[in-house]
Amino acid sequence: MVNDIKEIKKMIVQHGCHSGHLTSSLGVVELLYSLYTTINFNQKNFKNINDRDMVIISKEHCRLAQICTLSYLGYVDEKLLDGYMREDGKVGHDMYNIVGGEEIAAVDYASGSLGHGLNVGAGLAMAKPEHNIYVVCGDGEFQEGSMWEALLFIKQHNLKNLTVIIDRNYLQIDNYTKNILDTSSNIEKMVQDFGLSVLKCNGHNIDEIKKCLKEQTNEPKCIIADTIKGKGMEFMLEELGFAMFHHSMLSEKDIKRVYEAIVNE
Amino acid sequence: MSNNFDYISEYLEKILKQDDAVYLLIVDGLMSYLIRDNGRNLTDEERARIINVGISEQNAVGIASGLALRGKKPYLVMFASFMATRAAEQVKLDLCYNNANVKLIGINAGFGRIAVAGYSHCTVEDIALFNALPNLKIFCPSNERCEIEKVMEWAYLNEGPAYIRLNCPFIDSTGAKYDVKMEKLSKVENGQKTAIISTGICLELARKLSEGIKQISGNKPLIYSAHTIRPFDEQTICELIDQNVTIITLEEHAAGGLASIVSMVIAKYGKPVKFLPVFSETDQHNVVMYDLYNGWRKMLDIDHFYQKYVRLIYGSKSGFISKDVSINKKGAVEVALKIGKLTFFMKEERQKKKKGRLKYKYYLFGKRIL
Repeated sequence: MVNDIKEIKKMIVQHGCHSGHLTSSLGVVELLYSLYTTINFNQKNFKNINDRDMVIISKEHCRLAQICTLSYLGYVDEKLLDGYMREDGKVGHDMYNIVGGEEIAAVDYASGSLGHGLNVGAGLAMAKPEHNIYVVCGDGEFQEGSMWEALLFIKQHNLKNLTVIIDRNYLQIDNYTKNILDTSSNIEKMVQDFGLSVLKCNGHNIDEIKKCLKEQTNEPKCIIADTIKGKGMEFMLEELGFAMFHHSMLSEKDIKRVYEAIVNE
Repeated sequence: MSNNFDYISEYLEKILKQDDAVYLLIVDGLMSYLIRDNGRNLTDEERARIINVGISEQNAVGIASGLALRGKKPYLVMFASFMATRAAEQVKLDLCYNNANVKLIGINAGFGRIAVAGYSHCTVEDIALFNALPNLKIFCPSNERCEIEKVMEWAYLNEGPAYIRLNCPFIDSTGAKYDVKMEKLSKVENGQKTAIISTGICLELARKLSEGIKQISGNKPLIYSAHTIRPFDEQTICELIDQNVTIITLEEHAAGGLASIVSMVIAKYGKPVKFLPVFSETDQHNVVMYDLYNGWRKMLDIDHFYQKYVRLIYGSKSGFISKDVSINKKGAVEVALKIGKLTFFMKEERQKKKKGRLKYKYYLFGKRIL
């Protein structure tokens, strides 16, 4: 399992080191890996969207991690990632099976803009109560008002087949969330006050995440997964500065360092 | 015949009963109007498919898209103004980009009756905005029932996102019957030399304008209703250009709407044709403000409703719109209206009524039209 994570992370660095969102992606690998290996989503049913659970990536910055994880697990071809975030590439922020075709049938929804996925997830959950929907959101994303509209709706309609997963890394592009709009430190209480059952876990511990995913709750479930943005290369935050750490366009020298750090993690 | 809004309400109720994939989403404020007798005619299961999402337009579009992506057929009914601007990004991404089978029904589009509430409630930018989005079909039926019926039927039978722009409930159908073909311009009245193309309830104005033009030139103009804005019927426009017909467009919309679409066809076709686009320019938003200053109650009577259209013909430079209107001693204003090479005059009279309220009369080509 540890080896799987390492392989996926290597893949992420390979494809994302020249442009775009390396750090957001490195922070959620364990989360996405746990999700795709726990939920009702397998080789037999993944092409039939109406016959399986769905994973909505609401924080689109970790799209790279999603594609790498899916590719590692054999749901999409790694070739898709050639030219990621570049003009000749197929994948940027958003890609979706209707736009991208059969080859990305495993990718459920795309927006590229924050504050959309949870609302759509609520609709999906309402449409088919027998299947589960998992929405991966960022903590900074909760600065969008539409997220709270969605939470209200989820509670009101008791959408227990929907799981909100908050990837809490305390960071947004420009700074720590606490220095801009603090939707991180108190998010547990905030979401609880909206009427959801909140579970907490270490977002890098697969067993903990899986336990949370399986746990039954009285109210619709929200899992707060504490993560480290850019896990494995977090030491570069100070060197690169907040924005460059997020966008992570690295020099050849830095790419080598990051790669080594991840291999030796 | 029932009111158009009642018709929509009955229609939605009907498909809610006949198809268990149909969901009806509302963003508060319309439930009691749209669902008759609190849904007493519906079963519990049918009622469960009516969702008042609450005062959260962005959420509503997201929820509808989610339902559609799981094979449901959601209808989202709300004021057009909030759909077009408040939830624009959700429409762009959740709905259009994901090609979700959601039918958006914007009511009180244009100036609508709700215009009494002010500029915030007017929708004169939706066509321009939505026309730029992928996959979305745009319909703007007139007040005539034959068009509304056809559009609603089409929306139910066809997959993919669609926006239906309705101006109801204010003007009702006259019961006129003409051939309505989807994705084509409907020929409402036959004529020659001049063609008036209207969209939405401007059809009423088109008829009035047609009478005036007939009186002054002796030729009865053609009247078309553009109920399908996208995809637009370019072929009919090309035929009109070939016949060297003067084209007048009427709409309750700012630049980027019907007039812009028709101009593009004319430009693309590369032949000169007389063209008079009539739409609401930016400063014509004052139309609403003006009426507000004069008391919003006035807006509720039909005269005031029509005034807005008449002002659209005046053009923005008439001075009538601002509060400092200079009116001659007899209380009349004359405004030039140019159509092609012809110049017509329009006259407005203000008479003071007994209780101190102003009464307006409108003359076009010497004939009182309003």
